[in-house]
Amino acid sequence: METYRTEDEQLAAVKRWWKENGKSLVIGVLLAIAAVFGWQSWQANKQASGEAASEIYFSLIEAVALSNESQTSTVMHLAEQLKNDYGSLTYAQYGALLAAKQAVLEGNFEEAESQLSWAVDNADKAGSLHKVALLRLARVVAAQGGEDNQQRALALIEGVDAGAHQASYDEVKGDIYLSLGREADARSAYQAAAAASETGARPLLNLKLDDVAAEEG
Amino acid sequence: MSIQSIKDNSQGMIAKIIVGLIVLTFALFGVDAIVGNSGGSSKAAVVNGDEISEFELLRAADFFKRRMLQEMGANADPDLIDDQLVRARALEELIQRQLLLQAADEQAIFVANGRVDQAILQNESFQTNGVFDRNIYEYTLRNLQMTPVDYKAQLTRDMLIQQMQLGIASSAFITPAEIDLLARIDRQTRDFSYLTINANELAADIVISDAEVQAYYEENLADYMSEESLKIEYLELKQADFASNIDVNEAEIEQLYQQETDALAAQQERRAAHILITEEARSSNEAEQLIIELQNKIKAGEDFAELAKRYSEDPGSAENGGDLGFVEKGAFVPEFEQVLFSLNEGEVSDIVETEFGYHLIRLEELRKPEAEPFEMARERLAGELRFRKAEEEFVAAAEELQNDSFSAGDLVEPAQNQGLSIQTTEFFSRQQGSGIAAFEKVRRVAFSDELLTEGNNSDLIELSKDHVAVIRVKQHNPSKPQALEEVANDIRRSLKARAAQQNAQKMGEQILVELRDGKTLQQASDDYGYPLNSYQGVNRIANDVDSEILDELFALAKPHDSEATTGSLINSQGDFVILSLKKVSEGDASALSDPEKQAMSRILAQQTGIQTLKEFVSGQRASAEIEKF
Repeated sequence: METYRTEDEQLAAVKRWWKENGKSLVIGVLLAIAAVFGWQSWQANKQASGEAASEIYFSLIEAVALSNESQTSTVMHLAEQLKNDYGSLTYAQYGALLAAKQAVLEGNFEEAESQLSWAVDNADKAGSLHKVALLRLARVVAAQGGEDNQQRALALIEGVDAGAHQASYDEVKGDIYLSLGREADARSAYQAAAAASETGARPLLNLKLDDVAAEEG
Repeated sequence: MSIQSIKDNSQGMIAKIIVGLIVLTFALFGVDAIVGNSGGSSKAAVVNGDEISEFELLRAADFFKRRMLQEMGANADPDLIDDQLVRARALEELIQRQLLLQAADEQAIFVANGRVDQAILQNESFQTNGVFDRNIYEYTLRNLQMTPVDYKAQLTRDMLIQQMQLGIASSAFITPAEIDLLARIDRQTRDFSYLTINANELAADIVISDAEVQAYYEENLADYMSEESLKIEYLELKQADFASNIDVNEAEIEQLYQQETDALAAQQERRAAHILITEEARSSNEAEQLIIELQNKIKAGEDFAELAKRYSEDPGSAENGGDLGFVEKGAFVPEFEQVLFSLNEGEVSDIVETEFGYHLIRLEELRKPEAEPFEMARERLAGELRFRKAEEEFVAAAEELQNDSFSAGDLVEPAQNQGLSIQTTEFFSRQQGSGIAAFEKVRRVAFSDELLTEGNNSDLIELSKDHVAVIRVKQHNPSKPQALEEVANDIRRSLKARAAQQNAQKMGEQILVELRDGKTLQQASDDYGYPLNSYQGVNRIANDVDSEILDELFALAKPHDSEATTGSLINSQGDFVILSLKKVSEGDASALSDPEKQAMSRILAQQTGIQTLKEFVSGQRASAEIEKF
């Protein structure tokens, strides 16, 4: 480090430094301020748009909770609005899940399938929601009956590592095998479900397991 | 310019720049950026980097404990609650909540500020007569040790989590195909028959020797210990005993009555209306002129409300004819209030000057709680006085009893001091007793080391708010082995039953082998003389078939090629039961009515939703990094 003999020399050095770097320092500070304000207004924007989506979502929840076919057009409209205006938010995926429920309620499996497919395609592949939507999609496909559909449903969920949702996946696989007449496969799927089930009792699973019991010995 | 002044100036410049930077930091990032928001409280757990503080945990545990006590009823004993357990459960709940919050954050869930406010306003526990009451709100929050800011933040977090939970759970459904499958299974009926090899009947022929009994007794001595028991002596105080000999005099009753009526008077509410003339648009003089003019018009009989509408310059009330609604004391500036509270109903005041301008005030309505006439209140007040005095005396006596028995070696002296008699219980065990030993607390204290081995007087035991006791151990029967003669019959009986059950099982297994070789259950029944019970169309909830048998029946494999399936069980009496399942008739969903199907779908969809939510949480948990301290 340089040393200065007198205060005058020091002062001169500061002045020199300022002359060389002053401009870029001022520009740098200005840029930093602009970045902070930009960031803040972007945040505020994000908050406002999120809150608006949240309000639509609450209306959607209320409409679905009525479990009434007269609500269908409202439900579909709100879900559509979430997809179109807030497609990047998870609200849009929840909207699709709720719209699918409404569609199943009124027996419109094609609509349910397209809503769930949208959720499957748009949800984060590593997240729980993707697994939930995929399993529901398989169930809606299977619900449409016929061997083709059962095979299609099975293809959707076979070999998927469903993590915490594994038990539910296995149980649905069992149901599909059963409709395909593959009783032994159904039995092992149900057994796998029972083994994977760590989130408490599944009374229906026990019923199903008993129903495909094999004779002892 | 001298060198000196430039230097001073430049130092000033640098200082200004530094201060300027600090100001800028504050302005942009808030005080937190510099001070930080470490409250200094230690942490209870860290969930994916987010802290749960010890303070939060204490508050949650406290809340948990209070809820448990409430559930346990009025005489719950807080000592019975295991604090470690409560703490662990509270921490578990906080961790789960934190995980859900993090998930909500990841999923970019928001909540509108207005919705949170609305939730507070609409919460019935903050309302009186259906209207939000700020006093109740603040009182409740104080009880929860929360500021309104804390509470709103918590509510906001609740609503974030709730949106996610609703999205996952309330979107769950059940398809008609699944209803069909379940109906097929759940509504199916089965045709079957069974026979029972009764163990009890086999027992008659079994002889158990004394040597066998002796050997069993020696091997299982631990099972034949008498129960440890205690007899205690005790002194008790009940508040009710003090109430009977308390006198209250007339003067005291009157004084209490006066206090009550005074308190009632303070609760008076007045509905006021006023006309306000300000000095904003005119001089003080003009304002005074105008208000006098209005006063004259009112005196001349013009309608107060009309005048208020036309002239009053209070924007909040002019529209409504000057009406300010009901108010209690303390709502207005003193000058205004003093006049208002001196008015009779319907009366209009003189001109009142306040910081706002000139007012004419009218008392629209006076609402005061009706005071009970003295003669009618008298008995109630006397009772209340007696109760208060009894309570005082009871508390004083209890304190004295506590002190006396602490220093005394037995209960004799405390009894004399209090004029009480020493009472004694029957023998009782740790698990149950009668009289005062019926209180779990008394048994626990009696069996404590302090009393049992040290032989001390107990502390004052609070049995309820108005009932206390001091106890000491009088006699102790430790647990000891029961004599062989006492238990020989029991042992013989249970050995016999065990042998009989083994025989029944041997018999049953032999029959099972014969069935496997082609014999029918009917033939076995004929061969061995065990009667055959046959049923047709039995469903899962049939009440004419034993539930143990039903469970086994519906877990049996279905018969193939009309060949019956065989099963067996040992029932709770030790009997061996053999079942033969002949036919399964699958249930039929088309037999369900639409409302039945809808109800079934709704319930099952709900269950599925909850299940999915649980999976979601456990998935969240599995991938989390959780550290407990």
